[in-house]
Amino acid sequence: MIYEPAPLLSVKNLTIRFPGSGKRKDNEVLSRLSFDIRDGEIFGIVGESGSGKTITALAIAGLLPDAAKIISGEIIFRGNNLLSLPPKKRRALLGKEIGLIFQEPLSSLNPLMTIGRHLMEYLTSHGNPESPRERLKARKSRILKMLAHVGFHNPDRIYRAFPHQLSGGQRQRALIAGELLLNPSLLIADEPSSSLDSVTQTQILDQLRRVSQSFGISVLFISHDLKLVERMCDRLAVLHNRKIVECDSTYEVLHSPGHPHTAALLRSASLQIRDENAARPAPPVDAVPLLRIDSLNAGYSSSILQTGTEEKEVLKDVSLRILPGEILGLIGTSGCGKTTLARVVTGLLPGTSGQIFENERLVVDFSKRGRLKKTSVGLVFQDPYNSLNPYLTIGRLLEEPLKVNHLFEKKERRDRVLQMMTRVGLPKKYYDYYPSQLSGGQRQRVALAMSLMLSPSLIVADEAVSSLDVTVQSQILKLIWEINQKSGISFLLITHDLKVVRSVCDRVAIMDSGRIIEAGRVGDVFRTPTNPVTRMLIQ
Amino acid sequence: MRNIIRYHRHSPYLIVGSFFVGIVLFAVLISFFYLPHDPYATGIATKLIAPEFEHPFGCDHEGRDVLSRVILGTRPTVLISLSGILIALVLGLIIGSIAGRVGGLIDNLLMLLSDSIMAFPGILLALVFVAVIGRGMLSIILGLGIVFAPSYARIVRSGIRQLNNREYILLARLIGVKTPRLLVVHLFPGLLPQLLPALVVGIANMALAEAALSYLGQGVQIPLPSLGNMLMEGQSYITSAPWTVIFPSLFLVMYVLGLYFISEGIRIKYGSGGTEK
Repeated sequence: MIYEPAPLLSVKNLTIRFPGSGKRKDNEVLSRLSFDIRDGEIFGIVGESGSGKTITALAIAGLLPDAAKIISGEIIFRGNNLLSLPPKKRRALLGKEIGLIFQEPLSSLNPLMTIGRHLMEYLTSHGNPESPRERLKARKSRILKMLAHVGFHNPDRIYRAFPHQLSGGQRQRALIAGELLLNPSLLIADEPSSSLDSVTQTQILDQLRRVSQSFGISVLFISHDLKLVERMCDRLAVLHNRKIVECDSTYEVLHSPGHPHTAALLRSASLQIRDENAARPAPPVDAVPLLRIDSLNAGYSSSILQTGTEEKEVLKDVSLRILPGEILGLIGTSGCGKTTLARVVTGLLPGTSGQIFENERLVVDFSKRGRLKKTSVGLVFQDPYNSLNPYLTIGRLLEEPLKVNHLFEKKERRDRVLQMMTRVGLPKKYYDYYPSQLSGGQRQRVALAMSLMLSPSLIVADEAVSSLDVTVQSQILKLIWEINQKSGISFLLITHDLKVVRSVCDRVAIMDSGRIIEAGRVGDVFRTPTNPVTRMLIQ
Repeated sequence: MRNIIRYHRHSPYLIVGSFFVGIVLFAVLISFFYLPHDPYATGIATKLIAPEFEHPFGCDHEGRDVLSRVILGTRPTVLISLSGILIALVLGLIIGSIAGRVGGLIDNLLMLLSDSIMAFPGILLALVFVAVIGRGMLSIILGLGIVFAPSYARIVRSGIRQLNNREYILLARLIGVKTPRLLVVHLFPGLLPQLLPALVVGIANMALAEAALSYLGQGVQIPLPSLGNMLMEGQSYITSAPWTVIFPSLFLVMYVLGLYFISEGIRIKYGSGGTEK
């Protein structure tokens, strides 16, 4: 008989509900969930948004919202059932033994406290048993050592820095260091890298894995991204519709999925959207460009940002061609100027110098204080929660572009709106709905429809799929591809996600600190990148 | 009606507030159709008589029926507070929109102006205003409207500045929405959660200011009764005939307190500052 050690954490039959009031029915968020986490392993939970991932993490950490009721089940950690422990004891156990890392590091940090003080807090608040009377100096040196351990080259500077002085990746690493100071045996990481760009993401995850190995810490890794989970995790549970549909070693789950939902998740994760047989031939590279941007400079004047006295130059000598009927991907790390470029192209922000040509006809010369006409290019933003006016119905939102430009009669406008809704795959009944009644993916469809209403020849999509989970992401990308194929509208797809570029784009341009460093067909650029930054991005 | 009550049953503030304000508004309404006695009819026989069946609220020092005068006196209070707030709102929306959308020097100047108005006590400014352009209902309304406008201008300006960079406003500009429409259709609804409670409180403050002005003799002119000038007339008899003061104050308090309750109810129910997600 093989000796099987007791798991570090085991969740048995956990059911959690949000009780409804009055007519509203109970909302079950987890249904009879069971899984084990063994000592020293990295256990992954994947699922779409709303499948119950975060609630699971919160339940283990004892941080469930007040409204949530645990109906049945137990969470056994080192032989103690956490759910039946008195709150005080549970907190003492959890604080020391279980660490938590959240998605958005900035909101976990107090902007008025230095990183050093944050980390000191970890040590003092959970009264470290190994060193009850550890003096300040000793504590500080422990913190510095830990900061060095999570990959900071100059821990001294980080110790004194305030959260806003660090990048997202640095903040996340500082938080990991803080959790490690307590020597936990389980680290819960809820989408720890989802808000970071791909390069930083890799660093953080490598760090997490290295830490897990060198300290022998188990990690509960929660993500919607199968690629990451595959790289990180030893074992894996797939959460779908509040239930675990599959739980096995990562290799098993990903290579021979036993549940149709896992297979579907895998399909959408690889974003196989282009149907090469059905695709129209890509426009020749030497075609007359739909839009040609010539040595564009742009930035924000200091009066808006109020930092320093000089203008902040964001775009430096950017030249870019967008061909008719193509989907051009624009990738780069966060803060490299992608969004600024989108704003200049759409006319929201005037450039400081440079020219823009449409079909080789000069439309604006920024050097001569020219301004771009606003309605010619469509724009879709990243976050559909922010880009739709919450006080207008979907019908009115879509009618607005026609109305303000005095196009068509009232009845005709309504017909066109309904047609457009069908075109982007929205049921007609949503005409009278408000954005708050729609899901993220549906809202993004509305945003896309809104940008299409004035039949532009180019639509700029600024991270339009980044905030959506994989399944919805692939649906929206598919929609973009179909629109492009059917009506020949060009897209400028701004993203930090290489998968997105691979899945739909004809050509790709790579941007780094305000400059376009490389551009070309997707296959060529990805196969033989010439610029070191590109090479780093692609790896 | 029953549905309304059921809908609001979790917000006692709204129910109690609406009840109080409802009584006052009802008094205004019936003042147009029926008054128990002639509010101007004086009489030696009824001078300062205590409340009785014929005169439920008693009579004042000139023998006039207090109930009839209170009912009639709610009219100027409600009229002035509502139309005054309308003027304050319109001015606030205009000034706040210009400051919020244009920004820069104009913004600074407008805010400097509104700060300097807000630096003085409102009543004092209103008194000066009435003294300069003369007494009368219209000048009270105008004066109070101007005095109250800066606080709304501030709310509107800061709300607009917050919303200016919201993506849906950028998109609206992008599809070619012109500034007036941008303000009315796209920006103003987003201000409501902050503006509405402030407006309701503003009505109450306006009613108080009107009462204070009338009390000081600069507001609604005798013999036309208003809740404020009834207090002024009654104060000499407050020990011997307290009903001449109690009943007008009761109505004033109901109106003001009711409005405060409603404002608080709105704030709790819809949350201030938050857009629904």
